[in-house]
Amino acid sequence: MLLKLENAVKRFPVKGGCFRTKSEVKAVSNLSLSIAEGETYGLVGESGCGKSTTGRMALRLIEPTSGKVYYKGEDITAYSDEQLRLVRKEMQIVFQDPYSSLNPRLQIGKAIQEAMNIFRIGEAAERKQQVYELLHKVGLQREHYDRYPHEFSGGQRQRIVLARALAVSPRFIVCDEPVSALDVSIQSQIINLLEQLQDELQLTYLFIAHDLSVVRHISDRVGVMYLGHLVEEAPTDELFTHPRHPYTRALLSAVPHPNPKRKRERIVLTGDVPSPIQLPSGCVFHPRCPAAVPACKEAVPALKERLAGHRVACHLAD
Amino acid sequence: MNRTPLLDVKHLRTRFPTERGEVTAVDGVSFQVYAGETVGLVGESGCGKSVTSLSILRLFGKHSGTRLEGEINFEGKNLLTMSLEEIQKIRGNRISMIFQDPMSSLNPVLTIGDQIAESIIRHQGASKKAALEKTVEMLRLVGIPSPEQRVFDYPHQLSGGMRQRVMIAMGLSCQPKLLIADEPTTALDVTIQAQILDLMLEVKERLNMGMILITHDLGVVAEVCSRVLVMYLGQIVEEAPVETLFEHPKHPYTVGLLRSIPTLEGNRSEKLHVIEGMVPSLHQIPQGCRFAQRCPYADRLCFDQAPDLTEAGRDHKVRCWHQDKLSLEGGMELAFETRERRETLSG
Amino acid sequence: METSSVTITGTTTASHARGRRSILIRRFLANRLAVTGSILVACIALVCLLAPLLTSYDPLEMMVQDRLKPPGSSHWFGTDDFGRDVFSRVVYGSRISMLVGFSVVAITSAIGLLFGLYSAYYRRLDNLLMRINDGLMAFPAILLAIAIMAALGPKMSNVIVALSVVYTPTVARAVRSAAITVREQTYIEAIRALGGKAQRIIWRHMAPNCLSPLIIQATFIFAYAVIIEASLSFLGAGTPPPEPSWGNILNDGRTLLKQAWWMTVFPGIAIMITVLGLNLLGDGLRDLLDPHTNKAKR
Repeated sequence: MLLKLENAVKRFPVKGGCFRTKSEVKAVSNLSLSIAEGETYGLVGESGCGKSTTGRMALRLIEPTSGKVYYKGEDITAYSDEQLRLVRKEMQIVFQDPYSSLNPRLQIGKAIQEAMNIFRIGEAAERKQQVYELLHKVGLQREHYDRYPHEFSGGQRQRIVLARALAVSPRFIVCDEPVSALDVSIQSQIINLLEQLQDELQLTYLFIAHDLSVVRHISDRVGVMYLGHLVEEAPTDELFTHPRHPYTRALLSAVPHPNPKRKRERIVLTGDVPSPIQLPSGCVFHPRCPAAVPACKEAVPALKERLAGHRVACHLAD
Repeated sequence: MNRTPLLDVKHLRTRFPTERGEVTAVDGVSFQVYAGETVGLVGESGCGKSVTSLSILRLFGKHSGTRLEGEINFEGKNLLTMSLEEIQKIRGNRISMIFQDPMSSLNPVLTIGDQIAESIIRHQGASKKAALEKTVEMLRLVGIPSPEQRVFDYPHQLSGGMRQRVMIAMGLSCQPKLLIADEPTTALDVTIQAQILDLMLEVKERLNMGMILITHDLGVVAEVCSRVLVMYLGQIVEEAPVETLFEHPKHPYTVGLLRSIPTLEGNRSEKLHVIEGMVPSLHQIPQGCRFAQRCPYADRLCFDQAPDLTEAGRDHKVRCWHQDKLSLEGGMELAFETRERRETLSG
Repeated sequence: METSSVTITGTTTASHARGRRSILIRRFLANRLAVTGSILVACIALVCLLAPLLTSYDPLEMMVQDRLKPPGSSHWFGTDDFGRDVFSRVVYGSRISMLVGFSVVAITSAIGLLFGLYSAYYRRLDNLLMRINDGLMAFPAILLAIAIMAALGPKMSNVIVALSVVYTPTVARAVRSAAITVREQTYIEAIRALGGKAQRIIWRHMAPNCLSPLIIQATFIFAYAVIIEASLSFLGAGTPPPEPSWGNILNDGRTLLKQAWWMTVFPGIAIMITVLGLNLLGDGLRDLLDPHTNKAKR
């Protein structure tokens, strides 16, 4: 296993009003997952389910409140700042918003080169050459080196962000909604690029997205999150053909199909996602679950392996 | 169709000044919307779909320098020649609009009840009490639980899905004949999106409205719309009933779009189709066919001369020189063949 | 046909770059007030640089026989009660104003940038620095300046120190609020993810993106510094006589307002033109550089 999260918990304190009642947003609760070398692990869920927080905890960009993160078997939660800085060379992140992820006052060639400067990779003179190679690798040209970010479209910026991440030759990349801000035709260009780079450089991805079709296309295994909990995890085909958790089923049925003849059998979820400040008792999904039984209110279901590689957190999955 | 259309847009052209010269964001767009149908307006950013919808209600600042040409006939009157007061009476009353971001479209310092009641009072001259009752009724219609209490809530007290419901309630409060929804579900999660789309369809049936749905999500189009207009760089490139469009698309751009989205059913191991390059800037509109640079089938004719939107079948219009050639091969398979063809051409 | 999509994107972005720079210039030139402001400021700067060439009298030279002469061909702005040429004194006085203004802007910008950036980045330090800031900002600027001058004694270098103390908090606050916005941008997180250290993030990424508000603020502080220096000198707490400063020239003329109006009117006009020019320039720069007002204008 290249990366492993073990019982990771993240709570953000919320400042109360005048009375300063202490409350906490429970962004991620007791989450354990592991990602094997060379695979793409897709993490899906709706906004506020804690998937981005999970991705950042994997890189320790956000410190977990408790729990451990292992990279190549080493506990990086115990690392000092300097050790962490060094391990960052192998772990990178690509963000959702291609507009705010580049410094507007820095030429893009310099932005890519900066990563090499930080770790003093290669001779200063060679670095420029390496940047040219990276630009080529992500489908841009050498002439782009001294242009500023505003001269590029969203798709091109995402290519630049990828080049910057690749500059340190990482092995693991967290892709946090890398295509959701892009137009349809550009989206497929970036997805193909990500796949191509993975083949060429043997990268491992944690691919975070809310678009199930995209996740299905790119991932080898998929985890579904709801209100900070991992509720189901399975190899992609298994998850999309035999979803076991009622939330996964509802989520899949809600995706609009680009096929007007297909009659949709939709499982309509009533109500809204509860507040992450006051989580429901028992199974967090029970207030909206169409199949809930009294037991769901009482006990939190454990994420148990039901079939090979298929883990489900539901009392009714047996 | 022999009925008179509810909305009849003819040769709409919208131009506005930018610092780098004037751009024509919408260039000669014509289409109709009939009562009770949902027309989808699809395309990528910059294709002019939102500008088209803003043009219908003339929602541009007085001093923006926007120039509108053509005709927009609504219930027999041309909206483009109306005075501002007249069009004010139509906005929010006969024609309503719902925007993508419900938070910035609601006034944060007024309760949602006040905001909905306001337009009822203004357009229908109802008393304050009657307007409030109507508001509660509208909130119930859009599925907001315990609307009697919710009317006194402020926008920030509601979730995103609830706010979008409020926006719909506000849009529907005067029982409009035409509803324009600009990416109404893009900011929402899929499970909430499903709820909102169902709601919009249900209300549309009940009020026999015409609806224009602007979106980039082809899945949403397939589920909701009866007719689809595909736009590219300010022009309509294809217009067809929804089944025809998804089964027998004839414009290479439509084909490209349909093939480039991953689906829940497709073959995962296959690479996604890619439309090469990117949308040119409005400042540099290519002569000839606007899609030619990115089109795998383009030849000399395409680069030299711009094709017209021509009849390609029952209710089906396409703007492409090669539509007859392409339609023979039919829809999705065509793209496979031409990719090979292109490889042999380039090889 | 020969045009591949690649070359097309290339040319678009290249012309776009040139376009944008010229747009900034064009937008600035289109703002008439800003252009007026920069012309005024440029004139004052020229006057101050070319002072020895413009004047034919030493500003300190007393010509007893020419006391209180009204404006005329030999003394354009007339003479004062010691027979000194008012024109020379006003022209040389611009040097004091400019020197004070420049020094104050340089010092407040440097320290303000430092404090602003660090308190935006380190939250603990923020509490401390911003409380000190609040304390200093609670006093009216002129009162605080007078108090400091009273403690340090009237001297031009002390004026600079006093004004720097008074205005650094303003700059620090402007920089801090810009820096806090920048700190939340994803590219800062990206640099952290790349293993960038705090100093690199602060100076290479946050600082350049806080320059616009700093420049705008600095222009206004320049104007305030000119006014307050004049006020202090007028009150006798600033640049000590006989050194000509617009403030103490005004003070000299105060008692003779009825007999020799030229002693007060000309330095007054000089102050007005300088401050007006700087304020117009500041407003213009704000329109140009501040994204919020940009959006509103479009």
